[in-house]
Amino acid sequence: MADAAAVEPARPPFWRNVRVLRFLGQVGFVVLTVLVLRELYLNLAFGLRRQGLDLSFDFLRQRAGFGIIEGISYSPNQSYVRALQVGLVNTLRAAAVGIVVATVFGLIMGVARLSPNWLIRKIAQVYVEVFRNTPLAVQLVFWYFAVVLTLPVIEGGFSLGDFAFLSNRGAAIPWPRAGPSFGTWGAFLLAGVALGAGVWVVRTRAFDRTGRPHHRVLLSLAVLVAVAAAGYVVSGDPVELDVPESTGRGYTGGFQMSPEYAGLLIALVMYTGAFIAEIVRGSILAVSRGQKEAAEALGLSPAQQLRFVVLPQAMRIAIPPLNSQYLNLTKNTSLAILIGYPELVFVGRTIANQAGRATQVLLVWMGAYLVLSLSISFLMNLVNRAVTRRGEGR
Amino acid sequence: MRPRVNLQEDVDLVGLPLEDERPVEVAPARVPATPGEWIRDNLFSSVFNGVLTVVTGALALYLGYQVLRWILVTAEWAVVKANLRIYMIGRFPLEEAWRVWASVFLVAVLGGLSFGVSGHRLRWTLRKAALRAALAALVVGALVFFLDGPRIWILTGSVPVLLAASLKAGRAGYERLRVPLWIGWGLAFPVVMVLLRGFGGVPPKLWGGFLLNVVVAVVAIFLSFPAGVLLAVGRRSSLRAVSSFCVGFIELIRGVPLVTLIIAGFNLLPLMLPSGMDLALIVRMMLIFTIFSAAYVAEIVRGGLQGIPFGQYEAARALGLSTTRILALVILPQALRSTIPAMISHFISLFKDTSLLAVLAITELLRAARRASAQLEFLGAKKEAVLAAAVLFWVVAFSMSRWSQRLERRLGVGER
Amino acid sequence: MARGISVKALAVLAAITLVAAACTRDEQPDEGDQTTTEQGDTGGGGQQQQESLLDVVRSRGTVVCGVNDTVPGFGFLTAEGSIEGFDIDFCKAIAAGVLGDPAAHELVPVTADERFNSLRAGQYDVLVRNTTWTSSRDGSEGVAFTHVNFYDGQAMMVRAGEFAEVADMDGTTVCVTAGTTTELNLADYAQQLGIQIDALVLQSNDDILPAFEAGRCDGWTSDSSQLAGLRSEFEELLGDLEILPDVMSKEPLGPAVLDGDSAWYDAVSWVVKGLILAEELGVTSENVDEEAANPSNPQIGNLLGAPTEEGAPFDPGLGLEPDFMVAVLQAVGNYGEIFERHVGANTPLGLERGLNALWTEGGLHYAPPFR
Repeated sequence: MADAAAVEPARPPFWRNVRVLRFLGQVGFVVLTVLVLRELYLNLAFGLRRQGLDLSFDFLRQRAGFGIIEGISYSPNQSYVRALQVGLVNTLRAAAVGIVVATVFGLIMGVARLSPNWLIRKIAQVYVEVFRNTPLAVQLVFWYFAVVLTLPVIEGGFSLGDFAFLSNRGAAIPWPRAGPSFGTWGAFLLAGVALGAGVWVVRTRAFDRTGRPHHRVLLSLAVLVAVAAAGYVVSGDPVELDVPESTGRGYTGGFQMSPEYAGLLIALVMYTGAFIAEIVRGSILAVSRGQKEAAEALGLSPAQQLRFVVLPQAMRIAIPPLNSQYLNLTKNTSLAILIGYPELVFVGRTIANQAGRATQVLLVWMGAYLVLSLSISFLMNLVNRAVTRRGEGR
Repeated sequence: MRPRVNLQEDVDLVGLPLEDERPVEVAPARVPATPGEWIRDNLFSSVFNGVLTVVTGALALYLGYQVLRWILVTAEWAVVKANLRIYMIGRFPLEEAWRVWASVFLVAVLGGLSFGVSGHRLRWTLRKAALRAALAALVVGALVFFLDGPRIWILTGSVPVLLAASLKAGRAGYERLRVPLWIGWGLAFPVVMVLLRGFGGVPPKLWGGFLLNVVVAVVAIFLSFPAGVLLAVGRRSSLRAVSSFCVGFIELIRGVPLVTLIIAGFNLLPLMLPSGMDLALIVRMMLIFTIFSAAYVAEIVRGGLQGIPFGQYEAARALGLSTTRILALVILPQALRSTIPAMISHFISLFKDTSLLAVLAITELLRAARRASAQLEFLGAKKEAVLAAAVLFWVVAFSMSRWSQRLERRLGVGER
Repeated sequence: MARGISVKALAVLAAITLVAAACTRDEQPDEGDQTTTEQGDTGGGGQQQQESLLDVVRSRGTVVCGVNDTVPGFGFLTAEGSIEGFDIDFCKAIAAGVLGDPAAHELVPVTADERFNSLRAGQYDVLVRNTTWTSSRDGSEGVAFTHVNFYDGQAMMVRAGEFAEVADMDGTTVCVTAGTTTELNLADYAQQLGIQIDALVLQSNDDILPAFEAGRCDGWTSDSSQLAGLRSEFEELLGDLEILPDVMSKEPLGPAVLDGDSAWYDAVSWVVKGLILAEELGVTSENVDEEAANPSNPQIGNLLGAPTEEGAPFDPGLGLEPDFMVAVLQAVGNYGEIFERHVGANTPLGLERGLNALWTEGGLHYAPPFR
């Protein structure tokens, strides 16, 4: 059909006219798709109606009635909507921290894979091969049930001079908390930032004029630190240390991490870290040898070669696959239902079951993950653009 | 944007160690001649490296010792031994287990023949030989420990024998066998399905353990490949309706976690299907994994399609090929070839993802392990129970990834 | 360039869609008159909603039961790969009653949080899985409970000596199974007492056990029968355990079927009632054959569908064989026998009959008569 259209200059009859055919084809496709989807929808609606259920979202206003073990403030008397919010925040908490830690860990392991030291290289390789080729679900169950839960019970838990605690009820460390005079110090901090920025601008200009070393990072940081320190003394202990305490059943105060959160985080970081290590290694290797040799010929030290020639280029190669790893990690937080960490899918499943509304919950999940995925991709695009532009600017 | 860069200073600030002297001349690549030289080059090339080697070496030795001691002395492997059947086949009736064995033998023969035909020969160096001997000893030791009774020894023992025999046959037959082998592999899948299910066989409800992980993964791989290619082609279609449908489908599926799709397949899919279609749970899960996988395959294929230079289309068109032929004979073969590594790594992760079926009460390998460690006599053995499952998954996933690397080298995919 | 690619793709896609659409068209009854479609139209099994499950089960030849395989005594997967327990015997009884063959059943293990969804989805014909009868399950979950086969109550198990009652447990963590009424009761009960209890929700007893053993939770809440089973089974490992005196809820457990299928509902319901009545009348697996041939009183004759003087046996018209209870009792014995076999005083669980005794002995089990 198509090649006929390509050679015939004369107007073809309508049944051989590509435009007509294309139009008809599309209409047919749309009609068929709509028919199938309608069929599925009608079956679903009918099945639900037969069970006395509907497709409305009104039930979300009902009292939840079940407890959630961790997250933002919530009581069983609040609605399903609130419960879902708690779940969403818990998902974000796991995903955001997981992404940062996995990246750092993966970067270290990826560089270690290329180390001139044979032992380091081999250790990194074993790590990657073991963790990449085992299912995350298995790892998660292992970390939580076989490692985290086998930590000592709370009475016999590790403690660091009554400041930090670790047991199978979780971990708690001291955490700074704003004191009464925090406002005053805040003003000092702002002033410090402003002054630092000023120094930066002045030094950059001086460098442009004279070409002598500007030391702008060092100088502006020094100014900031000096002002902040002075302000700290003047305002009188604006930051207090919130020291955790053990109640014998759990911990209060400080920064706490539940065993479920810890288990999930360890599993996500170890698993995703292995993939990120491979991405890092692959990206560094993908920077062509000539680049490194040219840098060497220019007289750059190995560290400078890495910092100014290899890494900027490697980063550009690494960003698309990193993005997909970040998306995977975010979606993989849903495996937490295996260990009872109340993230979005866990809470949603409880609601679907208690209220019998699986369809609506599925739509909520889809919407939430779609927004999450799009946000991550958006952020990574920004990073990508920044990296690419900087590279081209050079 | 900075106008110029002062390298010296910025490097100081990021805190990277600076070498005292800068070797402008490139050191010639040196092949270490003696073990001493090798050690110096690879372990003690600088003071920093030396310290690193000593510290991590000591740590690795200590950890290695502890792990080994645990595996050989402390660990209670009885939980795995007693539950081996649940691990491997779940509630699959024992009197029908020959069906599984027959399938394993079939795959072993095909695998051996393929390996023989490929003409690949193991290279034997002293180091490799030692490594392989150690590995073989480990496998045999584990099998002797875990398997009880002459029947299962004979059955398990015949797998390597079959493998070796068909390897020999494959080498002898070489090129003549190539086409029959392709057909054999193509038929293997339906034949295994009939073996398991047909002729008074075992309904999928009773499939379980590792068998289930493998079957679900294989079904999803086989079905999702054509579906994914179709979706990828559809996505690049100039027909708006088709391409937007494909984009919507792919992005929707890729946007949500597999767990939610599994749950949807569990309680919504049955309601959505027409009332006559009553699919068993396992079959629905195969469908869900296929749909899930197809979206990812589509993205991989799209990547391959994008890598094909436009000139290829033009050249093919200049030869007077129809669009369908251009796609089937020129574009897809090239595009698919370049996607082999990505495709295999996707399939590996799909295989690993089958462990997510544990979320439902489906006794695949992971749930089997958790069930086993809940039995009264094995309550303390969670570590052993889960590790055994992990090792099984690992062996398959790792061999697949190794095979993929070899394939990649042989096809020279990385070089273009 | 891609213009022509699309044509082929379109053709294939269209073909697939067409086939799919054609299939659905054939089997889908018109939406408008689903309720008025005639019964008896069983062609192709297309009219699930009109045809009673009773007939479906008959033509299929097996009863499919949704069960729990993680509760010792009630339903537990053994290393040999079979599932055994109190609830499983009820599944066998239903198979024997409907099909005459206790072996004609299939067991589908299901988690607590998916049990209603999969019942609705038609994954099994009857849910026999320590499921509590509540109003919202009858209502919005769309299931129908047949007859209580176990009177239970929610309790709290702790390590001995740590707490005297639930009110002492402020600030503690308690393990609970996902998707159960227990989860809701716990929240309500804590609120009622004005204390704070954190619920660690895990998927099944398999997961709670290691968590409780490791000391991750201070308490384990569940139905008291389950806890008794777990305590007996795991006391050796977990040390001395104590079940607190609080009764946090009423938990009448029983087999459940899908709403709106009265023939199937009656069949399942009367198998359970028959088991209870058999105990009351003193019919056991041992003497059932004798009694069937020669009933010692008319009530037993009705129960077992024994031939009367006129010749025709009593048939309650449940759509089952008149003597369906004979097969049931041969297979699993009466209610008391099932109880004693799996959970009674001589089993590891060592449960007292308590509320589960017959009404004549101070319990709650009271079956309507066969008449």
